[in-house]
Amino acid sequence: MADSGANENPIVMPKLGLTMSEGLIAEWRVGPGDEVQPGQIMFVVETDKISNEIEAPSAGRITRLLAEAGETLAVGAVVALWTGPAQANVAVEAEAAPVIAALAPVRVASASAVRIVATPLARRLATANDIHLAEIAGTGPRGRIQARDVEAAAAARKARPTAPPVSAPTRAGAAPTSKYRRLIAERLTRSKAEIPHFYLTAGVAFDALTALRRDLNAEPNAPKLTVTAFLVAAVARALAQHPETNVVWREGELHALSATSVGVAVESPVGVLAPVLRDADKFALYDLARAMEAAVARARKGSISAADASEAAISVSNVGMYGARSLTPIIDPDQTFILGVGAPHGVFRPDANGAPKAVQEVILTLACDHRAIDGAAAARLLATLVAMLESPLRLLLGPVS
Amino acid sequence: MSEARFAHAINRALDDALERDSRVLLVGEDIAKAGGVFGATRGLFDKYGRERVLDFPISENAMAGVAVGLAMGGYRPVIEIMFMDFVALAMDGIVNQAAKLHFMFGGQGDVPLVVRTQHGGGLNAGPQHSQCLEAWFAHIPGLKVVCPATLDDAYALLLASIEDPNPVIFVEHKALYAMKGALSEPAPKAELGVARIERAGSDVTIVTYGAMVHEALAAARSLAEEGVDAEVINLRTLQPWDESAVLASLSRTHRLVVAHEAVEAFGVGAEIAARMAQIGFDELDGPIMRVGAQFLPIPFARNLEKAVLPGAARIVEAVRATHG
Amino acid sequence: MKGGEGEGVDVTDAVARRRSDKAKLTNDAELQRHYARMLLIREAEMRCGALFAEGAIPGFIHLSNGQEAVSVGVMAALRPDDTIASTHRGHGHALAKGLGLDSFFKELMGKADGACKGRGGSMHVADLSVGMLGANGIVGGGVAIAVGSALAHKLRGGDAVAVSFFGDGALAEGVLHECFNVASLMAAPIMFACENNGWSEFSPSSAQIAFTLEKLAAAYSLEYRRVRGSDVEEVAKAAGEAIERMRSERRPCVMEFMTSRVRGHYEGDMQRYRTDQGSLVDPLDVTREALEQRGVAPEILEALAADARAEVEAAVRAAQAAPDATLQSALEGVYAPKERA
Repeated sequence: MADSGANENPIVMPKLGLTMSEGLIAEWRVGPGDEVQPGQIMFVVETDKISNEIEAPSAGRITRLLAEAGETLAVGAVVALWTGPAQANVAVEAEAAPVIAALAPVRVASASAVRIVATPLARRLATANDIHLAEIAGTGPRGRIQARDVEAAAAARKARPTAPPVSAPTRAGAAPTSKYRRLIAERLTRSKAEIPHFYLTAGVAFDALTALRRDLNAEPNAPKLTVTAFLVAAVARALAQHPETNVVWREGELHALSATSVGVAVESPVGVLAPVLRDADKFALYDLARAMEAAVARARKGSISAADASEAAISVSNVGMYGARSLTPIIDPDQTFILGVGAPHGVFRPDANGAPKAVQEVILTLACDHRAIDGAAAARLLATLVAMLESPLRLLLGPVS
Repeated sequence: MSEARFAHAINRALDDALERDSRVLLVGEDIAKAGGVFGATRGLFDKYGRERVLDFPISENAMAGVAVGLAMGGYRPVIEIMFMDFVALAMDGIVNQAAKLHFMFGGQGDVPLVVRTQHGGGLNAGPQHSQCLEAWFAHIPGLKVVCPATLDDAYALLLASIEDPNPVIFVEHKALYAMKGALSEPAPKAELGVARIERAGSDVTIVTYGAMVHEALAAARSLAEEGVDAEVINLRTLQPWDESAVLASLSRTHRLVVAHEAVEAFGVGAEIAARMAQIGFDELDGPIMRVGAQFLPIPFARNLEKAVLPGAARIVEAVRATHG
Repeated sequence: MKGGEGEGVDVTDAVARRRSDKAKLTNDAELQRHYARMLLIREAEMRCGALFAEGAIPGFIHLSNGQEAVSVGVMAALRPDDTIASTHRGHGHALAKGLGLDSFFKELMGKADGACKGRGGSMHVADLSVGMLGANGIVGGGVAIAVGSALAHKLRGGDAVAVSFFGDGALAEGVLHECFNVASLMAAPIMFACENNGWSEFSPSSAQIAFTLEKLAAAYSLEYRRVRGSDVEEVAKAAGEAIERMRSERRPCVMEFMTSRVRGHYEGDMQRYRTDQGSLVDPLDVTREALEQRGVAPEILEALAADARAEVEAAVRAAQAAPDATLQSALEGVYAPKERA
């Protein structure tokens, strides 16, 4: 082969998380002979946790692909050769990377995560019909949008002129089931089958937090803080105060985690993702909010960085914004807890004198893995969390050391 | 219509050209008494004599140059290179001399020369007697390249090539010589650079030439059973090729397959695919697919040759790939 | 060659003397014409060298200094309907066959109305209207074309002939061997005119050629003659005889003209490999001495040289003032239009 020679270096299957031992090449975005720029996505790796776009760490030319899409390879296995630097490993060493360093940089290339694959004719037809390709589900290979998909969408719009621009299969029975959807199905079924769940529920008075948030967000130059940001900060601090709960059950043994990290469930085009904010207890509220915002934005595009895949004992799933009273969630099979958060709602609660008082209350539901944790320890964790959320000023203090 | 074989159509075109124009000469190895290795010149020596049908020694290099000298001297030589593989020996005369002279001498003279030769596999003739090298010549400014698929093509295109004032590489397929068919009456006419739609269709355009046209038609028949209506374009001339006909077809079908027996890499199909990706980009509703021989010399053994050479099945696969 | 030599002697002394004077005069006049043509070629090529050095002529320039007697002597025996195919060292052949100086210089400078519209340059000068089928950038490339041209002459009838010029370096090209065979076999009226200057590009031909042309010709049953290429009279006489025979007998021959390559392979060639400068013979010196011995006045010889200089100067000026070649014309010139057929 013309390209073979001493200048070739291996590109290996990266290690994207502490527990990752193998990965599936979901898709190649480059082929032999392609010149890649730093940050350009070379391939997509799926593990049982995440789907991850692997970027080129520097410029070079791909000379050979040694693994096919669909193939599962061990971490460190050579997947391709290129002319870029040796040890061209895109693995982010998760334990070494501080949250901010890992999450702060704007990933320019991540824009391509939402690149819509469509044929030239489909693009032309979509423009002519004033249809956004994002509204169309492609039925071609790799979900490629073809002319027939645009035509079907155009016909459907004509039939229902008021139809909202939501992504919908264009034909009955044609709903494509993504790989990721299957993955979610498989993982949560396993979780529900294997993990002995128990649930703790608490109502939290949210008035103080709402007032504080309103005041802080009224600052014209300050970044806006979401309810979820407060929740994650509170959960991180509570977990840090109860290190005995920062554990996971893995292969029949209890493992204590070294970092206090919190996952955040995010709705994405491919299904729910839960990027993890590593060392979430070690950052000030605003820093954490910023990091979370970046991770959430990535996840909304269906993309996850290596740091997002760090291990954690707990995730937060807040459906309050949709008005649900409460959420009884299923634990991620690699974690111990998940906190379901409902919408604030007005209730009367007795005050110190026993008189009824109108308060805004949020119902927290903590799902727990009984293999790793017992009821009392979990209840203590929840109590601390409730206390923090009801006196939220403490969250503005520096991170616990 | 009269029933004939492909070789007869060639023979008749040569006969008519010799008859009509006293400047036309045939030059080649074993073409006189022997009538040519595939019989294409049979009978012409007896009819026109040694001054019109010239046997040449086995000297392809000299033959090409001598033909250039004859053409510059007012004749219209039609030389026969017995197997296309042997053009490698004649490249200086064809590429450096014939192709360049009109241009290089500022249009002072023309080189009305036809190089007849035959390409292709299917006869287990092995690596040095089976190649399809037409892309070499399509790459050279100053040359024209013609590749007939049918009896009418063979007759009409050969006459058009002989009448052309430029050097023309006229490539016949060895497997076609025995092909039976009908030659239209009155005798068909053709213009170089004009493709023909052999089968109209609406779902995909298959662009091809030479013997592969018949494979493409077979593929189209089989695709029709799947409900895919393929259009088959017979290019007939590869240089210049009928870009507008291909673009027009692509604009109707939005899918393109380019098929030839020649090696796929760097072939005629690559040029057509590249041009259509450029000027037909917004018409495409699927990837442009190429079908050609695998990248190896044509092997001798029956099973190997069969495996390497593309046919209708590979075209069908390619059409499916354009539809995703 | 229609001089009085060898005519009858049954005349009076006085008549004989007058005739001898006339013959001498005729010879002088012819030799003066040869000399004038050689001077023109030399002057034109020296100007080429100078124009190349100052950048006015780009590309590769192969000068035929030292070989002018072959061009002039052979061409003296040819008619306009005879054809020649030349080599990369083809300026002398082209000018001697009748290419105009203006077209020549315009072509070398890449001008729009050069002989080849600026598309060919030095290595491809051609003038088909005078039977000059082109210089050729491929060693041996013109040989087969000349054979084809000779066959065309033969098929057409009449007595026109073709001449293929080539250097001794081309003896190693396979096509030349094929062409010897073809021409011999088909009895083509072609003269294979080898200008043997001893050099195959940058190497002595002795290091490249394992045979002699004489033996090669014999192997292909071709008539062969060796001629001193520095003597234009000898060249003209030998070529004249051979060509007359080719016109009547319609068969090929080989002639080997022993010449000198004064310049390098091309202009700019430093010639560090050359060791033979001492043995070079300049055909212009040979001819001038012959004319002097025959009593031609030095003023006349100087006047001939001055004429050549003036002619070249005028052509160079015309060329320098001429418009450049255009891309549009080149783009339109790749294929011959159908109408011409």
